[in-house]
Amino acid sequence: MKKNTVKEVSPFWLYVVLGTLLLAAFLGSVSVGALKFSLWDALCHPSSGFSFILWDIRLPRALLGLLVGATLGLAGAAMQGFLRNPLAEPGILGVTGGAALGAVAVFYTGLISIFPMMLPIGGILGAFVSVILLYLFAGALAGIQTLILAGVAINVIAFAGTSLMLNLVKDPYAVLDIVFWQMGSLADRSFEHVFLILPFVLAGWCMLLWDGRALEALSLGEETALSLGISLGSLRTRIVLGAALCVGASVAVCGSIGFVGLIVPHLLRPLVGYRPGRLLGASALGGAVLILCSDIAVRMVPSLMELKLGVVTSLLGAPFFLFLIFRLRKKIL
Amino acid sequence: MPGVSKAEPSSSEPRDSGPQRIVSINLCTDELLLRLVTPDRVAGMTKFSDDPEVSTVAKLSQGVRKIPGNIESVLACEPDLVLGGRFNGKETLHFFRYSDIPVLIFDVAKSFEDIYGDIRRLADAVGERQKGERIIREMQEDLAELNPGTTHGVGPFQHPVLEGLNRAVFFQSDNYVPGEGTFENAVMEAAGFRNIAAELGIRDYGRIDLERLIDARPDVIIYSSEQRNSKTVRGEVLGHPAIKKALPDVRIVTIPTLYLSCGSPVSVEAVRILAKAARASPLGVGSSDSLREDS
Repeated sequence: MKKNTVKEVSPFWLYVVLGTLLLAAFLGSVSVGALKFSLWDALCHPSSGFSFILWDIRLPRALLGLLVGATLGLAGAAMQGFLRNPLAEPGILGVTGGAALGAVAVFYTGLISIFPMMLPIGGILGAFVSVILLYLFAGALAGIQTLILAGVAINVIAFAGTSLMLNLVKDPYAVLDIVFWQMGSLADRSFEHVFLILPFVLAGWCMLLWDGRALEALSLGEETALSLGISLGSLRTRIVLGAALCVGASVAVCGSIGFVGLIVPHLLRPLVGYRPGRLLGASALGGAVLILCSDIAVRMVPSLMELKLGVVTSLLGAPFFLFLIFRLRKKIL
Repeated sequence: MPGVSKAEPSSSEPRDSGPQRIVSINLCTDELLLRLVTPDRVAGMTKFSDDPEVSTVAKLSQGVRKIPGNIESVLACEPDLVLGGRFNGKETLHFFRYSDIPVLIFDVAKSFEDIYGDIRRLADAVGERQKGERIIREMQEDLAELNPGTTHGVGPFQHPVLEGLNRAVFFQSDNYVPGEGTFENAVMEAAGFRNIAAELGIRDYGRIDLERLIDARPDVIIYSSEQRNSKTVRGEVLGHPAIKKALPDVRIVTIPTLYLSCGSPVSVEAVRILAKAARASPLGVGSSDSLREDS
């Protein structure tokens, strides 16, 4: 192994820095929008239009950005730790695609009109099926190629299913709506969306954060982990369920926002001394910062059509993915 | 003999001179066509044409053969005239450009002037010029009655009092709104509304940010019925709590989609619905009542 130029940072300072960045990004997110007004004015005049814009448009948007960003960062770090593979990421492995298919299926079949909660549930089921499929295809200790290929296959299946439904939808506006939703966005969401996914997201986070110690042990090898009293079966169940819960619910409301789970853990890994357990919390914070900053950028770029958040993260993430493959090429071949 | 031969064509000219096996592969040309010719001259039209939810000629098209609109189905009708829209059946129409069968392609109507132009063009092609002119005259009379301040629905509208006008926005999926140069804009102006999207500088279609919409304080939000009924992944189009809170007095007007999806003679109905809504508004009460007395 080559020497790393980036040194491990003490956990306390890492969390202080990431927390400060998160606070700044959150404040930035509620300050930026189509209209310019001072936050102070909006807070002082509770029944003005600006106040409604702040409390009912920008605040839920920033909160959703926080939830979704932390979810993606955390799920990416957890999957990388569990599969011991730096390219594992919900989007690349098809979990996001499966969740999108599940949500579109709920929407298309009209289940959503019975019970709004069906939307996140559909997303979670789709994500769950994807993770199970991934596991069946690739197994727990798959090499990088097998894992990525399995991800490609699942993505293709999910995409084909989604396209089939788009093909069969009668309402042309619904097609447009689904296509745009799939690009991933936080625009014009409300507190209803926040509360809709909050329980699932929190449950998923708990299951993933719980696994810090087990992932650390696993990084020493399966034998060592077993000898330390880690049950691999229950660890697997928690990772699969946890990732499905939080990623599925996030995708159901915000669409597919890719590559966050790839970029963030990779940047933070040297800072936590390559310890998969400590990477979890740091990646959650980092993911939230990345999404909030991207969402600010989306609103700052002057264009008639607002850029979609998922498009921006993909533009950032895809070259990053290529770069990682380039670096791993020696290992693969 | 010459007398007979002269009398023959004049009596039967409107019926027999034009094409007798017309095929239309676009709902909008279906509608125009059935208003100009009798159904027995139509050899084929779209499967949407007898759906009362989207077609305004559902009854008239009952006996006409419905075709999927691809090349083979059009050829099977042995047409002597093919009608299509700019964005519909592009490949099919391209194919027929190189055949002997005449093809008429209609652009999307963006104003009432465009509709008049389309009616005239089709009426000429099918040999029903007089009928076409009659339809246009009726539309112009109706529009003039609905908004007496305008010049017969021709050219730019002369608004009597711009300040008192209702400000409206026509909402579509994912905050898309029609701005200047769209047919929805023409309908809004004909009904005496000012289009907020046009005020904000949107040409054709653009996205209006929710924050800007609230800041613009529209008096009326217009929907097409289809949009109102269609659920979106993100919930109801205008279900956002911020709209309900910040714009408690905004009125919502729904226009049946079939009056708007094509520029056709029934688009006047869309103006009628809007004009009625404008008169019912607190802002427009004074001016519109006096206008009604005038007419």
